[in-house]
Amino acid sequence: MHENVYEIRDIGELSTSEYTIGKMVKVDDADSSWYWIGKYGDRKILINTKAKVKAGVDLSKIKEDDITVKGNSITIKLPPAEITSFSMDPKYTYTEMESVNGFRDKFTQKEKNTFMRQGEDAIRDELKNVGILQDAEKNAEEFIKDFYKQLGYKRVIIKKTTIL
Amino acid sequence: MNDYQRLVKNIIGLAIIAGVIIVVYIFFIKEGEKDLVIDDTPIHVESIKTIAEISTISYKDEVVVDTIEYYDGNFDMYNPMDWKNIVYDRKVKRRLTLIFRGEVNYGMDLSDGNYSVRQNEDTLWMKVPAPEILDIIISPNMTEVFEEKGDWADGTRKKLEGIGISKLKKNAEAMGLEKKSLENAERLFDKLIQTDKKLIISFE
Repeated sequence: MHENVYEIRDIGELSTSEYTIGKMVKVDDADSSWYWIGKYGDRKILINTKAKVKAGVDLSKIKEDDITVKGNSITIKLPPAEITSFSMDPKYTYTEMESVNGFRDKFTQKEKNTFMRQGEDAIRDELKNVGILQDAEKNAEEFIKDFYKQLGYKRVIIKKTTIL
Repeated sequence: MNDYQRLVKNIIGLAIIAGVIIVVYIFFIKEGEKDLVIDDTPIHVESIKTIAEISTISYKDEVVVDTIEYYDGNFDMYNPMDWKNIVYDRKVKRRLTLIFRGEVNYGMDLSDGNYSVRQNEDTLWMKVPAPEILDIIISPNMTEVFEEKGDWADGTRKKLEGIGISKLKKNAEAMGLEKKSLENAERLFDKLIQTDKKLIISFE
């Protein structure tokens, strides 16, 4: 499904944490069969991948009644932190090792892309364990406090929405 | 047996032999596609940075990058490979076509307190950096190897990916999204800064 191409979207995301995450993509295709000439031999590959992940809060989700001002004090209810951008720049992705023997074919670019897709999915799945959201939430609070203090507020109270 | 019957028999015999060769090639020699699964390896955090970037516009686009290499040299009508190159491959020796579905994010980088606020009794001035491209996002899941003929080195693929990123950037710049990004930023700050004073935002 690619219905979202050529789309311009208004957003209002405050990214406060940027993590660079690495993963070694490892494939061992040793499926030898004595009768299967084309399958006789091994294929192994190691691809070093890197993802740049940003997290923060979506400021566009803040509603007018989420901000309350009382004199020199301001209370703001922040939405929960979320991943704001995830990219895997090909510049930082490279094949560390590739070995093909027997009668096997070399790995195609299509296969390599499939492996990297699986690597990307694995990184996305494990993101919740690296603490990026908690870090982003803490940094967002600090930024917002500093922002409102610069505006002249003496007391800034942040109300958090729990990260699910 | 007359000549005609012998000819038909020979043709049928050759067709059966060709069929057997094709079946043996497909089932025992040709490497078929199969779903390989990567091994379970850990992820590791290489760096952590505290930033403060406000993204106000996201532009999604699709670009195609193609590279093609043709057979050169003279045509030898007695060489069956030359016939194959021309008739079947249309002289195309190698081809790699990639489709990128990327995203370009515009916004302001306010990291390291890169903004200032000044106010008097009735006006509040805010100075923030001008909107710029903060991210050009592509990933393997946003990349499709549409056509791959022949062997291609990673270096060529990387080169094509670089061209794809440049195309995404160029397309985004052609859309003139900076102005829209400014308007969105003004709207966002207007919502966040609840004040009775007149709010003037300048971008530099």
